[in-house]
Amino acid sequence: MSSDPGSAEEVISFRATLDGVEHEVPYLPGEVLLDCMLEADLDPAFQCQQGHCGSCMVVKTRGQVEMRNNDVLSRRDLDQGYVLLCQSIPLSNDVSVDCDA
Amino acid sequence: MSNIGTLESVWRYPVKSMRGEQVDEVFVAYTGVMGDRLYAISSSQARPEFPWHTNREQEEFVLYGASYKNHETTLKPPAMEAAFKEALNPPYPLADAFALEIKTPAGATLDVEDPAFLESLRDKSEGELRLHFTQKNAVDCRPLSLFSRQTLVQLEQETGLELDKRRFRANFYVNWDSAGGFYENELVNRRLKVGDRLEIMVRELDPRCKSITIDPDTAETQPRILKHIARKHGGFAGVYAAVLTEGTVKPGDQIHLLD
Repeated sequence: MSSDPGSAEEVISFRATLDGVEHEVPYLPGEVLLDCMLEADLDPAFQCQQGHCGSCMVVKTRGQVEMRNNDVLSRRDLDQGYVLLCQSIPLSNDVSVDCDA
Repeated sequence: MSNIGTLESVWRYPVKSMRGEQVDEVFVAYTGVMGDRLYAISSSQARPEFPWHTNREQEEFVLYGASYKNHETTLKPPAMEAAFKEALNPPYPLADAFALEIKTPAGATLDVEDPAFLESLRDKSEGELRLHFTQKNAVDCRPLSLFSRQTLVQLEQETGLELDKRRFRANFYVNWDSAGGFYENELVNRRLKVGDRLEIMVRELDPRCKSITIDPDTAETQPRILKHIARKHGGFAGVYAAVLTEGTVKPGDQIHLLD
């Protein structure tokens, strides 16, 4: 599956591990990962929803996402794969995130 | 007026986001603990309403130590007692009194204004960094932050993590006499007297951010504590307070509920 950020791949769903359970979460076009998870009745940690606090930092284990804003993750966090659920838009259909990390 | 607890320790953070120092008897002004967050580093990459370079962007920032060169002169204003007698706001000494020394994680001791200090931070920052000095205390929201031992213990029990209280970067760590964890949440809009003179009003809950995930001794991060607080406690742990009457405080002071 392509993970080229420039491709126009249609994203159907993504995978999210929360409390040790992996969920396939339907992707709602144009929405951030957090909103999709909440819509799917999952309860990941979050707080400010502006990219400031870091409560929703998760490790992206697969795929490509783009963050609208990031005022909190360090270069070290990014190198370790952390992204913010509240700011991330999937760019590929193979995105997996680990909310327990 | 009922006694509800004891002031366990008093802390100030000479440079915002860097390692704090525990102090003995210290003056608390309307702007907060004397000497607290008088220095801060701004970054051109940060947003204007929060321009600070913090340990969130550079975790190792918590490993930098800071100490005032003339420690004693930064604890109480010189004419404090005389000012109190006339109900005046005691003036602070000149800025020179707050000359500061930095201890880098590599072991170097630098004057805060030594360019080598900011230079040591630059390899981890993408923005232009500048040193700020203010006697207004560069706090995030309110002059004082307060956190209880009972809240720390409850969080440890809930998460199974051993938590160093310094993660929470409070000014006042308190010990409630009979109340449990998160009792401070019930004190919002209540007035407290701490010691003989200081009166504060708890104003709001303290919304937590990535800063508490950083181990104060290693700078390693543990996001689980922040996520737990977000999911189980609405993102809040500890409280912010405003100062109503200035005074000095010291560890062991009684905390009274005024109303």
